[in-house]
Amino acid sequence: MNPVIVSLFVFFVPVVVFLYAPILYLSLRALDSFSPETLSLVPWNVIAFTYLQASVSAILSLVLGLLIALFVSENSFWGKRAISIFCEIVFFIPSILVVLSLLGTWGVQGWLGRTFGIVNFLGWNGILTGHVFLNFSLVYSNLLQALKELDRTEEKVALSLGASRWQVFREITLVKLKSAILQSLLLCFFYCSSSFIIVLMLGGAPRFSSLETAIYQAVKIDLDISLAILLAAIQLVVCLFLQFLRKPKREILMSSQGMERQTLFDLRSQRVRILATLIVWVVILGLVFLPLTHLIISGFSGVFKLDWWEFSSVLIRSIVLSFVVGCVATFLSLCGSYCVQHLNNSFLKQAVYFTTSLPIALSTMVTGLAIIVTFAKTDWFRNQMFGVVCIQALSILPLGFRILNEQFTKIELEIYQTAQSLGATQWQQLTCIEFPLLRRAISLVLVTGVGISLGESSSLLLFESQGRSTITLLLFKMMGKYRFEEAFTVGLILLILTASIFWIREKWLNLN
Amino acid sequence: MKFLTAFLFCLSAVAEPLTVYTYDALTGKDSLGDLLQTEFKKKTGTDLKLIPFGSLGEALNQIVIEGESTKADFLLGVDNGFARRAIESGLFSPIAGKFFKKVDKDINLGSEKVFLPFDYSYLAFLFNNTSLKDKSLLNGGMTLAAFMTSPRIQKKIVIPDPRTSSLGYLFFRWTTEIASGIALKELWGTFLANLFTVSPDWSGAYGMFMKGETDWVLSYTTSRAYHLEKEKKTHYDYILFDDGHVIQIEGLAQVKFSRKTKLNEAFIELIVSDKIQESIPTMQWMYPIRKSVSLPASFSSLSIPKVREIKTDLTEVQRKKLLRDWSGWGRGRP
Repeated sequence: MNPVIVSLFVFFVPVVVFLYAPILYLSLRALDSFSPETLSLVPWNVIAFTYLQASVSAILSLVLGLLIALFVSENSFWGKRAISIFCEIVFFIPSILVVLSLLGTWGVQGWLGRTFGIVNFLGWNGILTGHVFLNFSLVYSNLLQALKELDRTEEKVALSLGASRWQVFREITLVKLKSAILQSLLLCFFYCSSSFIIVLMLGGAPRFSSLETAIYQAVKIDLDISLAILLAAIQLVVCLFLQFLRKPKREILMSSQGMERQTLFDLRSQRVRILATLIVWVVILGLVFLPLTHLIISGFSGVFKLDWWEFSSVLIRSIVLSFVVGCVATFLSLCGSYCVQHLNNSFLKQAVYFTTSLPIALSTMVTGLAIIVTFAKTDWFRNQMFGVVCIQALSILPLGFRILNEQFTKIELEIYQTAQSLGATQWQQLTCIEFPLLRRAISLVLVTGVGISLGESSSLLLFESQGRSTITLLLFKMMGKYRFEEAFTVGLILLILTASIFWIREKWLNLN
Repeated sequence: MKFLTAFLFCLSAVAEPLTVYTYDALTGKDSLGDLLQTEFKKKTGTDLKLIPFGSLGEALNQIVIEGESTKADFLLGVDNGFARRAIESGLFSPIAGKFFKKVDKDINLGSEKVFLPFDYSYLAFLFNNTSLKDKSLLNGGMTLAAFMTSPRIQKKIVIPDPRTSSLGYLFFRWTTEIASGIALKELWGTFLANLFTVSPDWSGAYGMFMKGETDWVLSYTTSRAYHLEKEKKTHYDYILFDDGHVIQIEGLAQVKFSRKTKLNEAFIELIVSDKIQESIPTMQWMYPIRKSVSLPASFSSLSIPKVREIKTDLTEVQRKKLLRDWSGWGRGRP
C-alpha cells in the first residue's frame, strides 16, 4: 500500500475522531440549546473580564516586548546576551511554575512583596504580571527576528534626505513592523484569553473569573454541562475568529536576509543608554530572574518535608504520560508533514495545513469539554489519562508539524530523483532516505512534546481522576493547601526537568 | 470443585473492598479515614478503600457520572450545606433508623434519614491574638453583618470559596439567613471588597492565616482546640456573634446502587461507634455526635456560641443562580 495513503489515513482518523467530531458535536449541542432562556444564563461579567484582562495583558506584553526588542536590536550594552537568555528561558517555563515563583517573590509573604509593602498581589496585579511574564518574550523574539530581517534601505535614504530618526522610525520602520506587531498582539491576546492556571491561581476573588475558569467550574464543580457548552461555544467563536485574523506574513520581513545590518535607532546619549540598560535589567530581574532564583533557593526548603515515596510514583507517572504524549504528537506530526510533502491533491494538502493549525485556536478547556461531551458514556476518557493524551498531543501538533515540515522541505529533490531512478519504492524512500534525514527533527519534536506535556496542567485538572496524580497536579494541590515548602521542592524538580529537556532541544536546534 | 468454588468465593470477597468517596482532608496518614480503614479491617476482615477528591462536590459529581456502575458504596463528609444537592441527585438510599438512635436528637441532617451525622462544629472567624493590631472588634456586641462590613477587617480576612468549598458555601448560606435581595448583595459587596482573597478550600485559607498573610480566617470554633491541644498555643481564638453561629454537621450517605448489605451495615455501625466517636475530637477537631462522649480538656475551654439555624431550603437551580449572582457582586469595587 502506498505510504502516502497510509499516512493520510493515520493522520486524519484520530484527528477526525478526537478533534473535528468533538468540536462539531459541541457546536451542535450549543446551537441546539440556544434560546433566550440560555442567554440569560450567560455570565456577561465573566466574558467582559476575560477579554478585558486579555486586552490589557496583551498590550502590556506588547509594549514591554517591543521596547526590549528595539533596545536589544539597536544597542550594545552590558549584559545583552544575558537579557536574551532570560527572554528565551521564559518559553519553557510551565505556567504553574510562573504562578509559584511569582507568589513566592511578589506575594504578601514573598520577600519582594514584603519589601515593597504589597498588600495583595492576587487579582489584577497577579493576573497581569503572570501574563506579561509568559508573553512578553514571545513578542520580544518575534519582533527581534523581524527587526533583524528588516530591509533598512528606505530608512537610510530618508535619513540622508534629512528626516529625523523619530520620523523615520514612526513613518517607515513601524509601518514595516506593523504586521509582526499585530500578529504578536493577536497571539498574546489569544493566549491570555484562553489562559487558565494564571487566572485560577492568581485571580483570588470571584470577580476575577474568566471563561476558562468558568468552564472548568461548570464541568468539575457544578456538573452543569449545558452552561459549560454555552461558555465553550463563545470561547470557540472568538478564538476561531482570532485565528482567522492571525495569518503570519513573514514574507514581508524576509526581504533582506543575509544583508549586513546597520543600527539606526541606537541611543546616542551615554546617560540615556545607561538608564535604559538599568530599566531593562530591573524589569528582567523583577519579572524573571528573582522569581526563578527564589524558586530555586526555596526548592531546598521542603526537601525533608516531601513524601518522596509518593512523589516518585507521581514523577514516574508524569514521565510515562509525557512520553506517550510526545510519541503520539510526533507520530501525528510526521504523518501530517509526510502527507503535505507527497500529496498531489491541493485540497487535501490544505486540509492537512488547516488541521495542524486548528489546535492553536482551541483552548484546552474547549477541546477538553468537547471530548468529554462526545465520549460521555466512555469511562476511558474520565478514568484513564486518554483525554489528557488527546488534548496534549493535539496542542503539540502545530509545533511538531512545523518543525518536521521545514525539515522535509530541506531534503533535496535530487535525492528523490536518484532514488526513483534506482527503482526505490516510496516505502524504501521513506525508510532509507527520509527517516535517516529526519531523525534529528523527529527527536526534536519528541523532546519538545515531552517537555510541553510535563509542564501542562489545565487538561490534567479537567480530566483529573482519583488517585492518578502527576507532578503538575501535585504541585497545584500543594499550592492550594498552602504547603509551599513542599511545593517549591516539587517546583524545582519540575523546573530542572523542563529546563534539561529544553536545553537538549536547544543543543539539537543549534546542531541543525 | 467445592474447594475451588469456596476459594473463588473467598478470593472475590477479599478482592472487593468497601469503597468510600470522600474529600481529601478525611484521608491520609493519621486521619479519621486512616483509623476507619484499620478498624473496618479489624471488624470485617475486608479492606476499606477511601477515594479522595479535591472537594465533596467533585466526589458527588463522580457518582453522578458513574451512575449505576459507580464503584462507590458511600459518600463520606456530606454536610448540611450540601445535603439538599445530594438528595436531589437521587443517588442515595435511606439509612436504617436504628443507627440514628446513636445520634443526639438536635444533630440531624434532614428528616429523610439519608445522611447519618458523624461530627459537627460551629462556624467561626478565627484570629491570632498576638498579631491582631486592632482589637476593637472583640469588645462584644458584634453581629455577623457588622463584622462583615467593618473597615477594621479590610484586606485582612480570607474565606474558602463558596463555589468550591462546603464550608464556604455554608457560610454563604449563613449570610442568606441574615439578609436577602439587595441587602444581601450590598453585604457581600462590602465583604468581598474587605476580603484578602477567597481560597478554593479550607486548608488553603487556613494555610494563609497560619502564614500570617491574614488576621482572620473562616474556620470552626474547634480549631482553637487544635492549637490548645497540639501546640499549646492560646492566642488563636474566635469572635462570638450575638446573633448566633451556624453549625456544620458532617454525615455519611449510602449509595443506592451498593449491594454490599452486610459490609455497609458494618461501616455505618463503625462510624457511630464509641471508638470512632471518641477519636473525632482529636482527629477531625470537631464535636462527636453524642454528648455522652468524653471530650479532651481543650474542648471544655471553648465557648459554645448561640446556634443560628438555616431555615430556608434552596433547590439546586436556586443554589446555582445565587452563586452565579454572588460571583458578580464584588465587581466594580476596588
